[in-house]
Parts: sequence; C-alpha cells; structure tokens
Amino acid sequence: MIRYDDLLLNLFHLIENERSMSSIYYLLKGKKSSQTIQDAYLFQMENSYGILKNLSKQHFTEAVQRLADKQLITIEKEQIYLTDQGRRRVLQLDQSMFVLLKGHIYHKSDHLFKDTLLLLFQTVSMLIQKQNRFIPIVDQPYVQTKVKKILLAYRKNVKQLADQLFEELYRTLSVVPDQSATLFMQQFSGYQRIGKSMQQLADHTGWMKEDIHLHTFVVVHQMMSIIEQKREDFPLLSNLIEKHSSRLTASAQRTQELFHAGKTFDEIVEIRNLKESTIQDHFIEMATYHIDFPIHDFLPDDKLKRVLEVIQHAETKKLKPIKELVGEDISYFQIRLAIAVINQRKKVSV
Amino acid sequence: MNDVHNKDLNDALKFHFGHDDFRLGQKEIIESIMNGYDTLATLPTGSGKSICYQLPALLGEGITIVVSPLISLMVDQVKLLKAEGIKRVAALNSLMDPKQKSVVLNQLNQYKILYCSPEMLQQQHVTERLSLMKIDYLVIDEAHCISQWGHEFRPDFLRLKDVIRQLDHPTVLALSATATPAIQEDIMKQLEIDMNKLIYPIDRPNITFSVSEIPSEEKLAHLIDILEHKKVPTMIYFSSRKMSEFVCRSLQKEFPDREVAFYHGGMEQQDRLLIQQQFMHDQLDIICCTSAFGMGVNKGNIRLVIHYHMPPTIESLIQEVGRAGRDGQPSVSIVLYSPGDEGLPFQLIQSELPSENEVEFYLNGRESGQNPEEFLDESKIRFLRLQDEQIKPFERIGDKKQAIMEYRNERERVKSNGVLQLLEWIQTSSCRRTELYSLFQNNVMPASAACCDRCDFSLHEWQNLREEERRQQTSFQDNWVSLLEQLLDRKVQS
Ligand SMILES: Nc1ncnc2c1ncn2[C@@H]1O[C@H](COP(=O)(O)OP(=O)(O)OP(=O)(O)O)[C@@H](O)[C@H]1O
Ligand SMILES: [Mg+2]
Ligand SMILES: [Zn+2]
Repeated sequence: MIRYDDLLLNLFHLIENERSMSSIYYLLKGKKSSQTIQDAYLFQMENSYGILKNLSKQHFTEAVQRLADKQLITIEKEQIYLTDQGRRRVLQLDQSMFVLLKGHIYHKSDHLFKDTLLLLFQTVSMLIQKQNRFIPIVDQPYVQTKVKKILLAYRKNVKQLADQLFEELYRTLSVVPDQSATLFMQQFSGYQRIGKSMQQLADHTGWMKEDIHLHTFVVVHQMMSIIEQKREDFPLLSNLIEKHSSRLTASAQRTQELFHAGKTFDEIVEIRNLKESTIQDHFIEMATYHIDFPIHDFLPDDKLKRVLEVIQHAETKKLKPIKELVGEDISYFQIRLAIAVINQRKKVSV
Repeated sequence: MNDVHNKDLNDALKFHFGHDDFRLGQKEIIESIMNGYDTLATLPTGSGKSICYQLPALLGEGITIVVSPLISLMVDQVKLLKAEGIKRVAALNSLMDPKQKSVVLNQLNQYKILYCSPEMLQQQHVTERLSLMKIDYLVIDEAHCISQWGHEFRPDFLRLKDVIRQLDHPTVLALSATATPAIQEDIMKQLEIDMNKLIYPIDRPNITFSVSEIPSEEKLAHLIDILEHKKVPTMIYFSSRKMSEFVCRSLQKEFPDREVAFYHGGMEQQDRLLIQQQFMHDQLDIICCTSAFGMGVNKGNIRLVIHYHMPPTIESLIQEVGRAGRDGQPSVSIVLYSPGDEGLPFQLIQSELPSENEVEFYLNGRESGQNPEEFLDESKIRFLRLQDEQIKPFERIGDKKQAIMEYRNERERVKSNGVLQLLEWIQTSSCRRTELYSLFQNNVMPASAACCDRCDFSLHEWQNLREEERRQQTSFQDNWVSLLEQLLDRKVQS
C-alpha cells in the first residue's frame, strides 16, 4: 500500500542532492513551471506530478522533518541526503505501487473526474429511491452542470442509468486492490448515507490524511486509464474524462499558436512582450510534450548528438557541469531543449 | 395598500413550505413588510425567522435581497431552499469567481431571492444592476451585526444605509435573535430609517442552563463523564481549532462505538461539507466545533450543547445554545468554566484590535507611500481601512490618530464588557434564565423543562438518568462491493 512518507523518501532518493527539497514540493503541488515539469521527466518522477495539489508548505516541511526524525534523511541547507538506513528503506519499497500514480497524465483532470463521479453517484442513488430533493455533495457549478447534462442524455431514465453506473463502477473497481477500492467508496454519498471525509478515514485507519489522498488518487488514476484504454466499453464513465486537452500551460499555448503561425522566436518575444527566458520556457514545454517539435531549428544534429553524449556519460543532471563539458558554443537553452527531447523519447518508448 | 387575506397567507405557507400554521410573530412580521413598513423584528433562535422573508419574497413581483454576515450561512440557505424545490434563488459573494458572479448578475430577473454578502453590495456595478430591478424587500438577517454596541459588529454593515438609498429605499426587514434594546436603537440609527418594531421575547423555555466550575485539568474528565451517561446528539463548542481537534481525538478513543467528528474554519471545503451533511443526517453522535459552525445551523434534535470554553459574549452563548432543542423537546446547555478561562477572550480582543503603535505605523506608512498592510493582521487591517475612510475630515495625522484610537478604545470597552457580562452570568447565584434574558426583555417565560442549576436542576442527577438516542448506523466496515450494492440498490450477478 502506498504511503506518503515512502513516496517522499523515494522522490528524495531520485533527486538526491541534485535539486533542493522544495523542487519536490513544487512537483507534488503540480507547479506549472517549465523547470518543475522538465525535472519531473528528467528524474523519472513525472507520475507524482500534481498528485497533492492542496499540500501546504507547512505540511510538507513537517513530513520532511518526520523523515529526518526517523533518521532516514539528513537536511543540509535545503538539500536532502539519504542516510544508510534511508537507502535500505528505499530498496525495500515496492516500486510497482508508485507506478500506479499517473500524475503527469491526469493532474489536470483527476479532481474533476472524482468530483463529477461523486455527484453523479449521489444523484443516481437518490433518484432511484425517488428522492429528488437533496443537498448536492459537490458545490462547483461546473460539476453540477456536467451531471445535469449526463442525466439529460439518459432522458431521465434513472433505472438504466443506475444499471450502467453500477456495472461500469464494478468493472473498473474490480481491477483495483480491495482495500483501496473500499477506502474510495467510503467517500461516496447517496441514499441515507453521507460519505466519510478523508480526515475521518485517516483517523479511522490511523494513517495520515495524505495517505488517504494518495490512495484515492491511485484509484482515480487507475480508473481513468482503464476507461481511456477502451472508451467505447465505458459509455457512461467516459463522459467524465475530457478528451485530450493540451498539457501545455495557457501561456505556452499562446506561444505555440504564434510559432505554428510561422513567427520566429524573436518575433514572439516581441509580440508577446515577455522576457526571453519566459518564451524559452514555453519552447521547452512544447519540446517536452510534442514529438513533432522541430528541434533541429534550434540545435543542429551534430550539436544535439554532442549534448546527448555528454548527458549520457555525465554522472549528474545538473545543468552547470553539463554546460562546462559541452563547451562554449552550446547555450543553456539548447541543453535544456536536448533534455526535453530525451524525455520525449523516453515517453514514446513506454 | 396591499391588503393580504389571512387565508391566502396560510395557504401560501402550506403550499411553499408545507407548514399548517404560523408560529408566534411570523404572520405579524410578514404582514408588516407586505404592507410596506420598514420593520425591525426579534424572534428566538430556531423560531423560523427565515420564513418571515422567504414567504413574502415568493409572493412578491420583484426580487428580494438578503444580506447576512456569514457567507457559509447564505450558501447553506440557498442549498436548502433549492433542495426544498424553491429553485429561483441564488447567492452572490466574494468567494465566487468573476464568471459565476456575472452569470448571476446577468439573469437577476430569474430570481426571487438573492443572498448577497455586504461586501458585494459595496460594488458599484452590483448596485447599478440591482437598481434596475424591482426590489420588493431588502432583508438584513442577524441584524445585530450592524450595531456598534454588538460584539459581532461587522464594519461592512455600516455602509448599508447608502445601499438602501441607492436602491431607492425598498422595504427593509431587519431580523435578530440577540438584539438588546440598545442594539435595536442602534440598528435604526445606523440604517437611518424609522422602523416598525416587532419585538418578540427571545427566550427558549425548553433549554435548561447549567455551569460547571472545575479546575482546568479536570475539564476533559468531566466532559467524558457527562458524555458517558448521555448518549444524545451533542455539540461541543471550543474557542480554538486546535482544542476542537484534540478533544475530538480523545473522545474518539474514549468512545469507540460512537461517531465523533470535528468542524472548524480551517478545514478544506469538501471535508466541511461532508461533516456538516453527516451531522444533518444523524450520522454523528458528537461534533466538536468552533463558532464557525453555528449561526443558522438548523437541526431539530440536538439535546445537549456544551461550551468547553466560555464564549466571548452573552450573544454568542445565546446563538450557540440556540442550536439545541429546535424541535421543542427539553435540551440542556452546559458551560464548563475554569478560573482564568476569561484570559483567552480578553487576549483575543487585544489581538483583533490594532495597538497605538500599529495605528501610528499604519497612518505614517500610508503617508510615505509604503504599504503598511503587509505587516498587519487581517482583522486589524480591516479595522484601520474603514476608520481611515470614515474619518476623512481630519487633515492632520495626529488628529486622525486620536480619532481612531478613541474609536478603538471604545470597541475594546464594548468587547471587554461582553466578556465581563458573561463572567458575571457564570458566577451569578440567582436564576440563570432570568439573568440571561432580562438583558433583552422585561418578562421571562417559566421553563417548560428544568430551569437552571440555580433553581431546580442538578447536573449530577440528570447525568445519572441514562439516556440514549441512536444515530443512523454507517459503518466503516462495509467493503466496496456492499457499498456499491447498497447505495445503487443493485446486486452483483454471480
Ligand atoms: N410555521 C412553522 N411551522 C413549523 N415549522 C416552522 C415554521 N416556521 C419555521 N419552521 C421551521 O423552524 C425551523 C427553524 O427555522 P429558521 O432556521 O428560520 O430559524 P431562525 O429563527 O432563523 O433561527 P436562527 O436564529 O438560529 O437562525 C426550520 O426547520 C423551519 O422549517
Ligand atoms: Mg436564521
Ligand atoms: Zn432558573
């Protein structure tokens, strides 16, 4: 079973002293900066991206302190080092449980999926008992509208809707470990039963709230990928997942539009009236997410090769030492683009 | 003038809310505003003040605007009305994003009732929109918040008089369960209108009052002792979030077969909603909460309200105890007091009001173009901003400072008096019921159950009368398949 402290320890192990501890905080929060996104892939921890969006700095710091108190890590000036004990612990961890998280794919849509499912479930549960007056368990107007649309699509044929919901939920949850599925379902409200809060589940199991949160989203991500693999097998639940929205930040999307419209880098800097470094960040994002990004426009083949070789052989993922090895004629921006391309290839191969 | 027929009003009550008869005062208040009188009314907690404006609003041609101090309270009211099938209601508050707000503002003519936070009514584009509408009534719920003599005074409310003018003076209804005669006068003064006063007694004969004075280290044990015997729906009020969580955890350990939860303003929205709904659906036995869970919360069968810490004023005591026995059945209020408990509310007063240095710092900072707000607490900033704005005529900083300090000291006095008043009540040797309510009215009804621990009530004896009211069972043990089957009323085919 996935636990918050183990996840943190594992992440600190992945970045060990190459990045500061706050980079992990930003990763978990899903900070929309090119640095965070690129690091996520660079250190192969993209599946934890945006997995704890509501994490407060205070809670994070407390958790880090907890690891230090257990003598699994030491903290030196924002840098985290694993102790021998910490290393042994990492080796014992079952890595396969982290793989079930898919933050890089679902960080934008997982909360919406869960909220819509909660409300749809409550509504169906009430309606089949002929209770059409109840307080919706999810407040967001957007979610409420979405559920109304689904009801309309079923032309208020509640029985059929309930059959379908039951069947699709049963099919998806059967794939998930029993204990996780139960923790997940305990949060659902319906006829004569209001769901438990994550806090209550934490108190009951003696775990932390973050543990419950992780569990919940392991289940959500598993459900979402099962559904996406064969949308036509889930005619109801597939409505809860929006089809491939772009993963770029809004600002990077604007830059991409201009780039596709044939504007050059310098023109875009000028048109958008933004700093050069900001536009560079946008290009890194584009290169990370889009296989068809024309890297050669920015980095001739021979130079790309040189960077890739250095990265492969260097013991580090820090930019500065890499820059020193590749030489004067290749800029930081070009190195970052090359890294983006590596990440891109990595993704394609899995 | 609009002559309303008795029978018509009763029919409308039945039709819209399903009640057969009006309760004391409701019809008089409704008729008063339907006849166009600006009205100031008091009625006890749980007596049905909401209907006094909801019914006229549904019967009117235009829209009714309801202002109330707590956003969460307004949001709850809207949800409740919608759940009752009254759909033409909406909320407008600062927690909504710009898009949500403009959706509401663009279809005002769809609504009969608009719950609006006082800050929203300060915005030009909002009042401009509203002034194009036919406004039947402007309602100020929990109106004691307008009064500077009231502890729960909210500066935003002071500007309501301008709003009334901008909206071309619709009929105004001010409602409260805790307005002393001085506060009633002040409400009218602040609104600058003369009002038809319908002052009904606010005492609650079915609530028994009791205070336990115990050393602070024995409080928790005493609480556990009470709860051990009384397995009834219970609310416990705390003055800090931390303590509500701490005691909640202790009670969970002590009573593994009972469902205990906490509720306070620091929780995530989703958790708050779930706990509140569990509470309303009888799935909790005990809720440990702060004052964030209070005003307006309407559940029939709360039998016991315990104050683990003394509340800051008599008014908050009445409000919070007012959650008990709303179904009319006998219920008990217990205040746990340890000598020195008053230190906390006094401290709180100091932390909410700016010190002389801070006033000076704020004014000087403003003068020299800095932003002193970065260094001050939220509540202090709000206080200073409003004062700065209200005291324009003073040119010199020295004068301004003096005026602000005078006002600050006045607020400190009002608030400290509140604490002292409650302390006196805790230490009184005469009837608690009479003491409590005689601040508000001349005559106090005799209790319908036991009166108080100074008259006829013994906590000890009461405690030993075992009582049990079972909540609905919702177990943590159910596994996901049975939850799915149960909630969707279907069976897995095997
Ligand atoms: N005429 C009536 N007959 C029966 N029940 C009524 C009547 N009027 C109101 N009620 C019920 O009384 C309960 C309390 O009403 P409401 O919440 O309006 O009280 P309130 O006076 O605003 O209390 P508070 O001061 O605590 O906010 C509600 O459940 C309401 O449905
Ligand atoms: Mg009320
Ligand atoms: Zn008495």
